[in-house]
Amino acid sequence: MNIRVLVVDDEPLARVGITTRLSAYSDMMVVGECSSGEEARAKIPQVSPDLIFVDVEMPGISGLDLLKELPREQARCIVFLTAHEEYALDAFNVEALDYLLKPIDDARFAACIERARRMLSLHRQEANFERLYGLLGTKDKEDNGSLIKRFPVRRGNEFTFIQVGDVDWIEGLGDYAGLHVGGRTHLVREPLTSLEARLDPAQFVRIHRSTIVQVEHIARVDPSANRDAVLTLRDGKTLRVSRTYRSRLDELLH
Amino acid sequence: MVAVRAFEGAIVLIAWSALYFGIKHYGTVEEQRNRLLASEATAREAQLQALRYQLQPHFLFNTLNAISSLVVSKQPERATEMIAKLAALLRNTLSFPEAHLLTFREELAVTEEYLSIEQVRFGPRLAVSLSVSPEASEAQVPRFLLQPIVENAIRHGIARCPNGGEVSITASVAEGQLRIDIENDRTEGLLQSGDERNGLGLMNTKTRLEKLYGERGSVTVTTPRNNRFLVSIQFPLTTASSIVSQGAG
Repeated sequence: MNIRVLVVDDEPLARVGITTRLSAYSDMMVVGECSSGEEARAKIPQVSPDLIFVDVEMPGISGLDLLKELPREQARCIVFLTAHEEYALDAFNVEALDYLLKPIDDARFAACIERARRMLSLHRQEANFERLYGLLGTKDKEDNGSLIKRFPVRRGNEFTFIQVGDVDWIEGLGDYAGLHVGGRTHLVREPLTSLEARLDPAQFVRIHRSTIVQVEHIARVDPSANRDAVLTLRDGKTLRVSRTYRSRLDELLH
Repeated sequence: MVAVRAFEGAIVLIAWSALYFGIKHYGTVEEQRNRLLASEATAREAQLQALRYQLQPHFLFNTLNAISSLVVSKQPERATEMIAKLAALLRNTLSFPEAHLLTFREELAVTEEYLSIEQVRFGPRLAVSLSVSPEASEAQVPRFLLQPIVENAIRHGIARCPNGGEVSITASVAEGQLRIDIENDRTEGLLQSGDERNGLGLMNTKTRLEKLYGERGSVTVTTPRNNRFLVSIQFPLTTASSIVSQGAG
């Protein structure tokens, strides 16, 4: 897999040092060179580089300012180049991939390339997964109207499906939801409320702002103080029922 | 008796006079010595300042990086040339010669060495122009006079211009005064004023010229145009021969 590289440094020889070293790596493809932050800002959207080597001290926009301005998806892999050690903390703050001191050390440069390859390969897997997940989601929707039948989830680098009937309960985690299945948890990228809308209301019930349970898996419900309740699942797990959702639960269980 | 008294009186007078002139002479020698020590101290300061600049990461590590680039891109002649230049510059700065005055020609030669290193780093972004009259070229100047000012011109001037610019050095003699102008392009709106970061360098130069030449030495900073920065130095013209004749007289 080729890696598209952009080199940004105001000193011509400093750029030569990077491009020459890169030519030893067959997967590294230099797609552009810029001599200032302004030039790089215009060039980045045009050539969409995977990896950017950027000098910190440049006239006009510095390398750090440039990175702060760029949208995250345009600047995933940034390697700072500088003669000064004191910018390392700033580089860390903007989540740079690496920080190379001038003059460049060849062994250190090789380690940096290795790191970039690993990082970019992870990004690619992630992007592929997102695409696949999106496709499956759309396909399932078309097949079953708006109801979810199965969840595509990833375990390491592998794909697997969770059948809706196997889910014990679902936990809201902001933009994500945790599917609890036989003691294991799988993350899916969907907020709880939008997930709830795509679940069969006869099969799943919301019992709390951040909890949905499978009706079939409920063992019992015990009232507790201040009109809340405690729900026990068949596997013994207990969950809190807030009074807001209590009536809906009572309807289903009677 | 009278003669003896007069004789005694004369001896007392002579003794007093000797004491008076002795003290006065001692005072002058002391004063001269203090002056010399003070100017030596400022010369040392100027040397340390030059050394500090050359050992800064901004200059030293970027220069080493440029050399490293020449090596990996298989340009050994240019690499060795740059190593020699850097060594010459450092050698000059590290040396401690007796005299802290030298001819402007010699001072300029060191500055040219420095500028040629910066030209390799900055490429076409740095243009240099020199104009020195033959008379000015033989004038005696304090060692390291030019370097801090030219280094400031690069660091705070040219290095901040994305499209680069020019550093020009001119030197001439008029009415017994040597005048040296160091002018550079700079980015409009960015400060390169005499009281900011480069202020210390200029302050040292001012103090030094004051110690050496009193009121006849001066450093002035102007911005002749919005994107130019000019440092003018003036002090009385002396040559190696005039110093020798002064010493003899």
